[in-house]
Amino acid sequence: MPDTSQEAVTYRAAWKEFVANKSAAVENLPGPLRVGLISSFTIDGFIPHLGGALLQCGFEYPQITVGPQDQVFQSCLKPSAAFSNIEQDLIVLTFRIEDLFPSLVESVFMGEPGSKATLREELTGFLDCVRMLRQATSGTLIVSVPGVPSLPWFDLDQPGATALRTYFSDLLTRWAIDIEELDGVLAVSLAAIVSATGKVAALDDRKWYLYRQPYSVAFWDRLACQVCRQLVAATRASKKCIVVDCDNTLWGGIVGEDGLAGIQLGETFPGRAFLDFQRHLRYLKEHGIFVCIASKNNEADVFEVFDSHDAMVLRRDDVAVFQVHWRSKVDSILDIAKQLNIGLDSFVFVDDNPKEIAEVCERLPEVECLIVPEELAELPSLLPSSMLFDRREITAEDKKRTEMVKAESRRQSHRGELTEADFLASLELDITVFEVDSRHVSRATQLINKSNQFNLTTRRRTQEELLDLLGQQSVMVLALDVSDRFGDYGLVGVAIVELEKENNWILDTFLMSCRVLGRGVETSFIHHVLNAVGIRGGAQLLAQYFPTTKNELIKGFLEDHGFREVPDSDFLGRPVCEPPEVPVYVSSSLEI
Amino acid sequence: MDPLVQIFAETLDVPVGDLSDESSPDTVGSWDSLAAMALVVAIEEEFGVNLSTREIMKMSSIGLARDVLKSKGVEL
Repeated sequence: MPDTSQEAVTYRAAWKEFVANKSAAVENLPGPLRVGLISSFTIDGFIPHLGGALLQCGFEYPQITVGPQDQVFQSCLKPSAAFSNIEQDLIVLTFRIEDLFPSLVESVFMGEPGSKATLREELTGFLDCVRMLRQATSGTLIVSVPGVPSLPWFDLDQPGATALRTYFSDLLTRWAIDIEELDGVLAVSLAAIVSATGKVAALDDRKWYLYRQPYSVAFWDRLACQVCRQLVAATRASKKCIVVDCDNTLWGGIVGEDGLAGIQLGETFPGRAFLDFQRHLRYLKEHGIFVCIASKNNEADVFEVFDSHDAMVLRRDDVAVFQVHWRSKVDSILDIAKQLNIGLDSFVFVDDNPKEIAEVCERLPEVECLIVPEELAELPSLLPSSMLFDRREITAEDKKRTEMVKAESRRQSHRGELTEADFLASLELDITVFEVDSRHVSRATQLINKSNQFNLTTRRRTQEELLDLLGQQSVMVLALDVSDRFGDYGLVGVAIVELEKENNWILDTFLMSCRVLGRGVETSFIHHVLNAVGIRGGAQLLAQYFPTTKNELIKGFLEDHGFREVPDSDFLGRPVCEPPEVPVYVSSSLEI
Repeated sequence: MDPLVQIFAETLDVPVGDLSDESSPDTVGSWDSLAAMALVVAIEEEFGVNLSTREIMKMSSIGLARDVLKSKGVEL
């Protein structure tokens, strides 16, 4: 968490400048970010803080509307009425139980029998309201997890109130868990913000009594920061690769001069700071981020540290690519980008040398560069507080990414000795086509939104939209799972078929990740999609190719698999019987 | 330039020339309770003071706000 004392002024200053300079025309721009606030307390004071924070995160035209006061329930059930029928891109719902259920909370404080159970039920009822809100709007939804009630006339910290305090914290923990489990709802903890700000600094009783606004400006700033953080994680691609230097970055000192025993790495400071920095890198690797090394050193010296230094947290296997030589870091980063096949804009580079940082910044402006802080105690929090690797949800595939890259390189070196046919036969490819359920939705959504090249229709969908399709009788959402003797590719393809009429089905979506293309997998996939349609009583599958600048790869796929023009329509079609053969070297199954 | 009038003008979004010590919620349309809250924040930050609810409620015109601040030792 960055220090927000400075932001207090900068967020509001940024918003003030924006409001002063914006012309009436801005209101009608096609791309403003519309933010709706629903709150149990006066939230108008939050607008400049949130607005400024959004501007600083690069959202160009935030338009913030406050829903009607004291109408939290109504606004959840009918958000369109709360925001004059304008669909909001983001809705932030902030509430405190002492505002929403004032007399019940009072009864609990007074110790009235049955009041605790009633409050619990009421809160469960409110969860249903949040569910309705989720269904009634298509934008991002952020809901608060409030803290224990904080009313000036009742001290929950007094010695005799322990049981009561525990009751409230249990109640709110339950709320936090329930919110976490709701699909498509992000949580922001007001309690965590109060404790980060300090209770005394976060609450302002004067404003509570005068304006029904319980919080201070310091609190608003942190809340704005957290809301933006959630929004950025939910809507923008996070970084995929971290490239770090070795000397004075992964450990203290210079291994080429100080030797294995001379470098600083261990339980005492400053060695401990480097150790903790490595721990964070290891954490990133475990969560699907590529960790790479770019160091000007003798390779043997660096490997000796990785292999023989007792304190090293990061192991050779954790590192996706080593670039240890005397060429420039720019070259190293370009090589890594080529090897991993990811864009430079998903790179973060960390080095202690300002010259290296300056060179990379200048020549590779897409790469995010961070310098090792002068104050080494700040090194371990450098990456977490940068928020560059924040993201909404980590799928099982993300976690396995480094493992998969290594499997691919084993596959390629194995290929060297073999003919194409022998290679394919030796892979022992195994594919499964199955019906998507809620467990696979986040990975399927990820694929739907990021695959470009082998994508027949390039229809994008949000997680909420996909979930909605799962429940429909006339739709089948199918996914493809692939593995071979070198490893597991995971969920790498999605197909959506929809019943048009009678026994005609339409192939709405058909896509695959490029990493499994060209091994007959695509033919096996369409084979099983056709079978699945047949099982559901379909006779013909209709499909259409929508060309984009990036999906040349799938052009001709339909024709090659027996789809022919359908008279008087834009579709190609084929019967579902006698689907194209699955190659003999692939073992496959359909599970629906 | 009177810094206090300046703060009121910016927060209430009216020209400095339209304001005087007699200006109050009754004479300035944009001076509603939300603006009042914003005024408290702006005044506290500008002059480095902490206002009590009693003082805040007393400040029902620019002149009265000036009196409150003077009584707290702010030079205006």
